[in-house]
Amino acid sequence: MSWHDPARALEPESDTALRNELRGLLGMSRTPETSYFEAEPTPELIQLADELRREARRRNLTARKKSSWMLLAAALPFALVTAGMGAWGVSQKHKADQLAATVAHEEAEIRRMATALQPPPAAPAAARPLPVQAPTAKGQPAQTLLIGKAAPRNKAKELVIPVERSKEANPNAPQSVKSN
Amino acid sequence: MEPLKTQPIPFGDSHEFHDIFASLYPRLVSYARRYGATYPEDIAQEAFVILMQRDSPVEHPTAYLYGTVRTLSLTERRPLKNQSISLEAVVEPGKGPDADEDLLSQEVRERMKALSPTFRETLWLFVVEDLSIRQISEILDIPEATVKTRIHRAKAHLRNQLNSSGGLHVLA
Repeated sequence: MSWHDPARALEPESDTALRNELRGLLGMSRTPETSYFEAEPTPELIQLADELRREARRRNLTARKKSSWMLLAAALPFALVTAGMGAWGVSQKHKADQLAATVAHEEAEIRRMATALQPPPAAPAAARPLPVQAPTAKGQPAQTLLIGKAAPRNKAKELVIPVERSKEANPNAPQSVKSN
Repeated sequence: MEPLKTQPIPFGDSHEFHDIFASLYPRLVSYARRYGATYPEDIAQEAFVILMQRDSPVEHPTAYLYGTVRTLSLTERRPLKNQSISLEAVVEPGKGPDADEDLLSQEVRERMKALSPTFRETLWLFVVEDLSIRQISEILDIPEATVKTRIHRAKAHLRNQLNSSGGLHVLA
């Protein structure tokens, strides 16, 4: 690294003129008494400069070592936890796969056993609706009642229950009460 | 003065470094004192160590040193900021005027004091510290155009100040 500062060396003349003008306004001398980089280093300053240089070098070395060790120390627990979690996850996945295979095998076995124990299908005649003789009232022809699934489909064959209305027991007829 | 040779880290030869250190160190101590640093020497030394500690070189080492001193000085005073210290107090602290006494006359100090802290800081770096506009923009972390604006406004303030007191006629 160089101490030579191009920004200071390549300063435009207008800036230098402005600086001189401001110096005049402030009541300072137009040109600085000492140049920017002109100073006599005293023995104390030289010693201090060397000490600072050594300190910078020491910090540079120690800081680098410290940072790498610190990085390792900080990363180690995370790496261990990640590896542990990964191994545990893999073992859990393996167990889950085994359990799923066992369950599937047992279900297939149960299905096979259920199929084997199922009774044979009933005869087709049993499904046919049976004609039932409905009770008939006096003087009425016998009605045939169809029981089974086919009965409601055939709208022509409806269940008709003959009711003989008795004249004596008419609930709508007015009742007369005899007075003594 | 001959232009300094470009050298890789660590900072050229010892002779060159001693010369630079001897010229910059007192200025940096004074600059830290202006910000009210309790231990301005420590701050200036720390700025040098931080610069030399860097792996990558900086483009403007002088500006980098000034910027580091400014930051460290303000950081040192940070706990006091919570006690509602104004910018005026930070830029012109109790020990501040003492720092100027060695460098500036009473008249110059009075004229600088009349400026606002923002303008005074820029003017100080430009005129007293003899830094370029580019360096000041790096130190204060503001655009170069802003530095120029501040300097021109400071100049206008100084002119008004002198006009009101009749000083401009004396200068003319």
